[in-house]
Amino acid sequence: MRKIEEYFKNYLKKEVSNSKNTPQCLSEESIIDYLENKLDNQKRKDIEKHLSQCNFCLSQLNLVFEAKKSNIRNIGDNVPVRLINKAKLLINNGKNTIGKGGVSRMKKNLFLTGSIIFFIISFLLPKYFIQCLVVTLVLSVRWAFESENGRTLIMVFDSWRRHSHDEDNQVSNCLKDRFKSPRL
Amino acid sequence: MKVHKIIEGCLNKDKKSWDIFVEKYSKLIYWAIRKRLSASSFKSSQDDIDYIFQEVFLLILQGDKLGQLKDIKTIASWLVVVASNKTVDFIRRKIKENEKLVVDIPVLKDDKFEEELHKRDLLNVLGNIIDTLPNKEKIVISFNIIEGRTHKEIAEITAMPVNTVSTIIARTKEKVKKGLEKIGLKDL
Repeated sequence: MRKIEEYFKNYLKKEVSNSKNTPQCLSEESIIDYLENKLDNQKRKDIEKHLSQCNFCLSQLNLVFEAKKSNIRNIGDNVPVRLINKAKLLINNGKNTIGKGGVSRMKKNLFLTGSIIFFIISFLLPKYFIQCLVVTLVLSVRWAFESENGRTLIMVFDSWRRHSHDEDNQVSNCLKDRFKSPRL
Repeated sequence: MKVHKIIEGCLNKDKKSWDIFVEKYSKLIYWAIRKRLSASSFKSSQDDIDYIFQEVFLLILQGDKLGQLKDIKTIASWLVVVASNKTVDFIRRKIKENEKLVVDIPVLKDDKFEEELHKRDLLNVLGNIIDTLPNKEKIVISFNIIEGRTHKEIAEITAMPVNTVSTIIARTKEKVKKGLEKIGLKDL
């Protein structure tokens, strides 16, 4: 009988290896709800019908059961620290910058709002007109430097300043020639 | 920090909550990946595990995956399934890349021909017997034979009395024995 069981096991294991998850396969929630016995009779029967034909979902169910049984909180070996650190960095890399980005965006808007407020105050309080205007100027400059448009403008200006004008003259001369040519 | 606060923080892409989340569930996700890999016949390396591990966290972080979790109490089980699914996706992708099948069909050699034929007869019989079983019995026997679960554990999973599980297993094994006897296999 032991040998029969061995063959039986091999047969079923082979089925598992060949099994694929299909669109009909159980969702994460369905597997958990089945295991937690949260489903009504009909839903349970539907899931059992699928489980009887799908070894993939059966093995998923088994995995969750094993995790629960082995005390889910203390399960597993120690994870290499480098992996944990790498996973932590996912929130800061190019794909997900919302974490810090949100704060800096708020800061930028704060400079803009502040400069507008001080500009208005400078007219309301003529006694402190100059002081308020200076604060407005400082905040505006900060906002301009922090915002992307400001930075782009600075970069454009800088490149224009450094750029030799020879190429520009060459291009404009070419254009002039073309306009003068009889073909056009 | 409570779990629902951590989840809420992660959904809002809060760095502190994310760090706590990663610390808290790394072990579980790592375990699920390794378990799923060892259950398949795919030969994996440490690099593969590292890659899947990052992929799982990226999947949780990006889009609305974490938002799909209905009951926060079941987050651990949910993560096991998510990690397992991601691992299976990875295996499938790798197999496709390598254009290799998970289960190789053995090439029949002359001296082993009879032995293989005998084994295939046996597998056909087993397959036919399993196909005739009702859904619930099929699940019970699969858990018992493939996963090596005890009668009590199967009763827990399927929400059936232990006695019923024991009866199903004994009856199915008897069916298999009779089916094999029919084709002349008694000495197994």
